[in-house]
Amino acid sequence: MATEAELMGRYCAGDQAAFGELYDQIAPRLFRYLLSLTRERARAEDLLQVTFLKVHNARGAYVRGASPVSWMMAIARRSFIDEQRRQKTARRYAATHGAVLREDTAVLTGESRSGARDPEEAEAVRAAREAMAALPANQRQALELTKLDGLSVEEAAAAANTTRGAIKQRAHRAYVALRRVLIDDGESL
Amino acid sequence: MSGPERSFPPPSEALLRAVADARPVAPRSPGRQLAMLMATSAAAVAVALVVLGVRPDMGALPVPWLAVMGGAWLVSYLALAWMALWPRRGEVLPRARLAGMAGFLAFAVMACLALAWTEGAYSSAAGFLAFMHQAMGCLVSGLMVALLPLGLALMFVRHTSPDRPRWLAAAAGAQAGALGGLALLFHCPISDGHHVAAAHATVILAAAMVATVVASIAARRRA
Repeated sequence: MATEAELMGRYCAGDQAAFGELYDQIAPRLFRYLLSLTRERARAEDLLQVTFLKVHNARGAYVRGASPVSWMMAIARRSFIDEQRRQKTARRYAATHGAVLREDTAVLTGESRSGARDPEEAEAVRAAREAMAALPANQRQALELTKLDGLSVEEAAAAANTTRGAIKQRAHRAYVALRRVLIDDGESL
Repeated sequence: MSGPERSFPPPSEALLRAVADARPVAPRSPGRQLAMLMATSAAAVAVALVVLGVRPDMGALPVPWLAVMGGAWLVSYLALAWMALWPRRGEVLPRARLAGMAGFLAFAVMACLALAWTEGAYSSAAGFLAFMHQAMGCLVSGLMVALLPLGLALMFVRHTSPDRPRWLAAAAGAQAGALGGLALLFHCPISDGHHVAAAHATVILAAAMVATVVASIAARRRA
């Protein structure tokens, strides 16, 4: 299987099939990352398309042989921040002008596709989600990038625009906090 | 039987259309960009020294002082240009924040060096207004030298760091400012520390600010 760097190189050279393969390899990780930022499936889907369009327009900035993942993560994060700002501006405008903004968003529920769920499992998922949500944003991001998205420490550091040491420390703190909430507190009950 | 369900959405039609219409592009080559930037910078300094002239006390300056000061300006320029353009091994993104902060550090180091160790026969004119007039002259000259390398570096780094465009722009500006400071070392005969710190070293900050403003305007237009 071709590596992401090879696929990106071929995509820059105009190979459309390489784009398809690259999308299939990277989009799941980017989508999970955007989902963790937005917590809304519909917004994450939109932002995924925006991110890939930005990647497409900026593909000349890619450095041959480099891993495109952290670069794309940074573009995704920027897209999310830009969208947040636009929404804030729109809300301010609506508040000033008395308009009502309607947002059609599919809120992430965590339900399985079949809809059926073991009550104990559902409780565990709910507790895990609450514990993750209670983490400071930078710790949650570090945990998601390294544990859920499967990025290396270097890639996660680049995606979060910080150092390797900071990512390792934040992920460790998040892990300790989660452990305290999910295991230690659970045992004491 | 349906195929496996994707946990992520397929590419949109707009995206597929954009990809289908795309032409091949050459990926960014940091080495080539750095070489082009250095060649342009060398030409800018040479032209500036021909047009503005070399300082009259050049021959009388102590060689160790000239070597240390020239070396410090040159190292500042090279380090900032390298940080602004060269990513870590295997990465696409240059170290934007580090590069931007290095620009401020370069300004502080050059200002302190100027205040600590000066050589030369000429001092600033007496009086605040005359001092400011001379300082503004040097600042403008330094920025003129920095203009072309600054524009080139900004062109090279655009789209490179989507997350920290202003930091990277600041670094791109600071490297051009350090080049302006280097040119001023060989052009301006005023040797007192306050003038060199306030006018020559400030070119780094001023060029970084110009680049940051340009990058902000460009980012706002894109958004």
